[in-house]
Parts: sequence; C-alpha cells; structure tokens
Amino acid sequence: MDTIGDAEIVVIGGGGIGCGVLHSLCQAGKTDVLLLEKNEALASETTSQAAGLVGQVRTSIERVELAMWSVKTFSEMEAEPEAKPGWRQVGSLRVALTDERVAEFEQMKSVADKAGLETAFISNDEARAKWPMFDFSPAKSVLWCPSDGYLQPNDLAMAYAHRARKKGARLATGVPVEGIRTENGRVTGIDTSQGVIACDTVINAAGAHAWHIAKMAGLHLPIFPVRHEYFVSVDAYGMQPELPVMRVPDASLYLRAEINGLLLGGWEPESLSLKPDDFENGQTPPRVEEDWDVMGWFIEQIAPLYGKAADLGVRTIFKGWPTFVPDGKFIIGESRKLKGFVMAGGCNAHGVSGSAGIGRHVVESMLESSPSDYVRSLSPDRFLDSKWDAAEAQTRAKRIYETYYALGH
Amino acid sequence: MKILIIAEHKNGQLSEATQELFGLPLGQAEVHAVVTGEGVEPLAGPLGQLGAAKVHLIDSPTLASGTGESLGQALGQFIPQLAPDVVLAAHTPQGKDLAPRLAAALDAALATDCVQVSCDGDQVTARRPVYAGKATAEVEFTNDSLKVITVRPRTAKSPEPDATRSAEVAPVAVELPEQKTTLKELIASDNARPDVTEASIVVTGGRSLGSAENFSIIEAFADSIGAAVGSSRAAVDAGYRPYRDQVGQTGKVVSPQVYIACGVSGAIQHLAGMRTSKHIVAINTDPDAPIFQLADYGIVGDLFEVVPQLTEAAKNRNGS
Repeated sequence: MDTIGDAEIVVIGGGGIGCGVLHSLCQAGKTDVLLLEKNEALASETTSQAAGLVGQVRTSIERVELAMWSVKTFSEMEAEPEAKPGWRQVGSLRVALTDERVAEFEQMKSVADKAGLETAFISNDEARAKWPMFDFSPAKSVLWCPSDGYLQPNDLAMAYAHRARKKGARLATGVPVEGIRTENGRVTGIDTSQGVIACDTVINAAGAHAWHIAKMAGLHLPIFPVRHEYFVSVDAYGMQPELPVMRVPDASLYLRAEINGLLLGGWEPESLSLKPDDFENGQTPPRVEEDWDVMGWFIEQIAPLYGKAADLGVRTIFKGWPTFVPDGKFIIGESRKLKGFVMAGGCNAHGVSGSAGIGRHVVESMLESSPSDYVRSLSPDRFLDSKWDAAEAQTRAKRIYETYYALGH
Repeated sequence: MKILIIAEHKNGQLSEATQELFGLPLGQAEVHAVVTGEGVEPLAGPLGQLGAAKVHLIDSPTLASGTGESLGQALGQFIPQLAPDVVLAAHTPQGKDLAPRLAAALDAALATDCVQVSCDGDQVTARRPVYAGKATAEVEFTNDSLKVITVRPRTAKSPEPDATRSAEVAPVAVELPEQKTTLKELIASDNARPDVTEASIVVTGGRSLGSAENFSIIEAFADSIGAAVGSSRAAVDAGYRPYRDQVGQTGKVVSPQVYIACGVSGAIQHLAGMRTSKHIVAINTDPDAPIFQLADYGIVGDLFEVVPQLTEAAKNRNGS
C-alpha cells in the first residue's frame, strides 16, 4: 500500500474551506502540502449542501475586502477551462422593507464605496426589470451590486483541488485523523488511520468536526453546528439562471434561480443546534430531517413580494450543519497555546463565499510577520485566554444564526 | 350516491387508467359510465363487466377526435341530466383538460390528481399530493354540490372483468355548436430514445462535453445500445441539454441496470440521483473524480476518445 508521506503543512478537511486554504497556500508558494479528508470524496458534507451565494456588500470594510478577494479569485478560476466553480456573476439585489433597513443599506453603501466596490440604489421599476415575477411595491429601497453572484459549491471545491494539485499539493480522501502529535508546545505530526504523518503545521478546516480536531490538540473552542435548510422548487414561470441573487433581510430570506426553479432559504427565528460532542469525530453529524414548518415560514415571509411561492412544488430540500461561534466571527490563525496549530473555521455560514478570502487570511496569519489588526482579531486565542460557559456560548452562537440579517449585525 | 366515470378509449380499447377507476373503493355507490366518440357502442360490454350499472353513449363524429372543447360541451350537457354526485376521470392529458372545464361550467367542486379516493355513504374524501409529492393534502367536500375528481393513473388496481355482468345501455343525444378548435393531425414524437427514468441503460454527459453539439457523441453511443441520454446539472445549467434530462438531487432520480457517466465528476447532488443504479461505469480524465469511488468499472481517459470507440464496438457487435 502506498504511504501518504510526510508534509510541511497538513490541512484537515476537504470541504470548501480546506480546499480553499490548500489553494491559497499553493498560490503563496507553499507546495509541500497535504490535505486529508475523512470521507471518500471531497466536499461531501456541508459544502455540497450550500446554496453558493456570494455577496460582497457587508457592514465592515474588512469583510467587504475579504469577499471582493473571493470574487476576484472565482472570476479567475471560471476563466480557466479545466475546472470551473460554476461562477455566475449575475449581480445581486438587496431589498429593504423598513426605514431602519434603508438606513443600514446607506451605511453599507458607504462602506462599499470606501472599499471600491460598485453598488447603486435602483428604483423599484429597475428592480422589477431584473426580477419581473416579483412585486417590488413594498420595497423602500433596493441596493444593486453588479459584481455579486452565485456558484456551485461542490464545483468550487473540486476546482480549488484541481489547481492546488497542479502546483504539487497532495490530497488524500478516506483518511480520518485520529490524533495530533505535539512536542515542547508545538505540533510535530498527526495520527491517521493510515499511520503517522510528520508535519510542522496542521490547519484545522474540519467544519462541523473542527471542535473535535481542536480538542485532540488540547484546545477547547466554542464551535457549534446550527442546522440550515433551503429548498429548490420545480420549474417556475420566469425563473432562469441569469436572474440576480436577491436578499430580503427584513424577511430574513435569500433567493436565486436554480436553473429554471426558485431557490429560497432563510434564517428561521428558532434555530436547531447541536453541542459539538453530540457526535463523535469519526461520525458524520446527525442527518437533518426535512422541517416543513421552516419551509412554510419561508413561503409566508416571501408572500408580500411573491405570493406565487405558495403554489410552487418543492423539488428538493438541501440541509446541513454550518458552524457558528458566539461572536459571529471567523476563527483564523495559529494559537499561542500550540505552535503550528492553525485554525480555519467558525465560518457562520460564510464558508463557501468566503473561502478564497479566508484562505488568504489564513496564509497571512501564518506567513506575514505582522498580520493586519483584523486578521489578529480572528485568532482562536480570544476563546482560549478566558473561560467560557458552554450553554451560554451555544445560545449566543444560535443567536448569530437567528439574527443573521438583523440590523446592526 | 351516484357516480359517473368518464371512460377514455383508444383504438377500440378502454384505457388502463379508466379501468382502474372501477377498482377504487366506491362503497355501495351506483356506478355509471359515459363514453364519447364515434361508434363507441362496443365499449358498453367491457364497462358493464368492470362494474358499471349503466353505460351512456354519446355518439357523434364531432367527438371522434376528442378535443377538450367538444368533450366539455357534450358532457356539460349530459351531466346535469344524469345529476350524479361525483364525476370521476383519470388524471391523463384528457382528464386534466376536461375536469376543470366541467367544474367551471357546472359550478362543481374540483379535486385533481388524487392518489386516494373513497366513498363511504354520502361522504367522499380524496387525497392529493402537494409540493411535488413531499406532502399530502386531504380534501373534504363541504357541501352536496357536484364533485369532479381526477385520479392519478395506477392509484387503484383494475378489477377482473366479470363476464356475468352487463350494463344497461342508453344512447344520449347532445347538441354540439360549431367548434372553435379541431384536431388536424397527430404527429408522433421523433424522439425514439427512452426517458431517463424508464430506461434500463442511461448514458450521462457532463459539462466537459463543452457544447450542446458535442452531446451528439453521447447520443450516438446511447443509440447504439438503446440507452437514454442523461445530463449532469452543470451541463443543463450551461444550456447543453433540457432540464428533463437532468439526473441528480434537483433533477430525476434514476435506477437503471447500467449507468454510464461520461465526463461527470460525481458531485454529491449527482450521486443522489443515480447511486442506486445496478452497475455504474465512469469515464473521466481525472483519476481523483469522486464518481470513481462509486463506479463498478472506471475508464480514466478522455471521453472524446473513449466514447466513439465504445459506440464503434457496440455497432460491430450489433452487426455481427
């Protein structure tokens, strides 16, 4: 049997984040890198269930810049013939239904202006020209971002993997990680089902298993899987892949076309979350049962703009366990507690869209002598320097999900 | 309770879907049947053997082609004369067209595409799937006005004909005004390939085909082995194939004897639509493509080279 072989850097997790980090490492010239995925195929858990929305309009300049980096990367990748992420730069509409939201959009627009991201307020008639099936009369303002879009998360992971492999990165699937080896306060290797792999650095991009991997290294991080679902309808009149992505934050919803059907998802007010120790490291998280009350809630929420949603047949429901953390920020970078142990997780359902930008920040945290204040603020040490209460942390992480589009979020 | 079954027929035979309607649990109801068309009298016998107490024949050359307009007018005149409690039709293209016309014309209650219908005394209940079959609605009729119900084919089993039974036969005369629509010609579809959900062999192409035109090599291969042509989501999204060919979580779920994936990487969404296939063959340039994890036979190679060779081999074998 082939041995996997040692590597300078091992990335644990073959989802959107793990593959994105691997790709960023290769871009930065680090090519003695190995990615390990416990499942038989890449992107087989949360990534494959993601909706693939990529939005750059955010409330902070750092987050706008991170997303702009992702968009730039996706556009470059889509231009290559061999492995495309299915990136469609169709633009996006944000629809405000309240005066408070209009004020938030104005603030977001000024952040976008500072970051050099093109956005514009458009009239309800212009919005209707972009989404003719919708009634925009309840809209108080509509913010348009022409460079937003959506992609196919599975294809993105495969495209990252393809590009990284071409630069010399290795990927091994069906290899669960069983332990982290340390010596004198630094990582020296990992135990896997296929033996020991020596390495200088381990990057934890294990998604819903990131808590387990961190625990192996003796680090206790508040990473909570929170259930998320959306549905794709049967073919619906007027739906076509070129329609812009739409977000209606006052209704807590996002939507786009999925070929000729409607993709509709959102952030329900009473979420369902897991404690990370509800499942073992080697297991997949519990199967998500379809929750029809949540689908019904989405349809009620969209009714003022699109009453027809109630008549659409549901073709399929996508569902998974993205992870959330109590402060709603990524966990990125090396811990002072353990040299060579680097986090890339706690994505709060921004993993796919953020993956290229997150990968870049992970590389910055590792290779730059002085990473930015923003990147340093994402360090896992913010949860390791003080004690936190598990129940309270879970409640706060759930709250991040439930108020995903809330004002001031 | 009086029930009227609208009989469909073709080439002098009752349709299977019509026969099945007699297998529904109709209790002690008095069952009538109505047949429309030209020269339809011979159908009265079989309808009687299935359980119709009385068969009404509306015979007219205008009804021969069975347009929705003409059937709607004929039955719209006849049904109030008979005054049934329930009209049953199969949820076929004809039934789907006719039932709403009748319900509107007769101010009747309407329940379409039912997968369960039962009559108990005066009570009629029906169940119909909603949200593409993910949930079921139970329909209750809240007053005693006429009910028009269409039933999805294969909901009930057709009863064995009982040769000892026969129906009373009654011709019915209707006045048909000048028709606004006529059927000029029936043209058979030139698509001789089987549907992806019905075929025992499916050949699927992915985005790496690069264009709609290049799918011709997949079509040629499929035709050489009598297979259906499937498509990955990405190829449908790129506009190479129509949605009806899409295999996967958001497309069709197929379970053929042999599934041949050409240039399909094997995203989870795709595997969800074909993983129960009996034998899976994958052709892909990327040896790490996840489709190979599931495949019984794999060819690492360029589909543009491999597939034409397979087509050639199949043709030679067919020829020998």
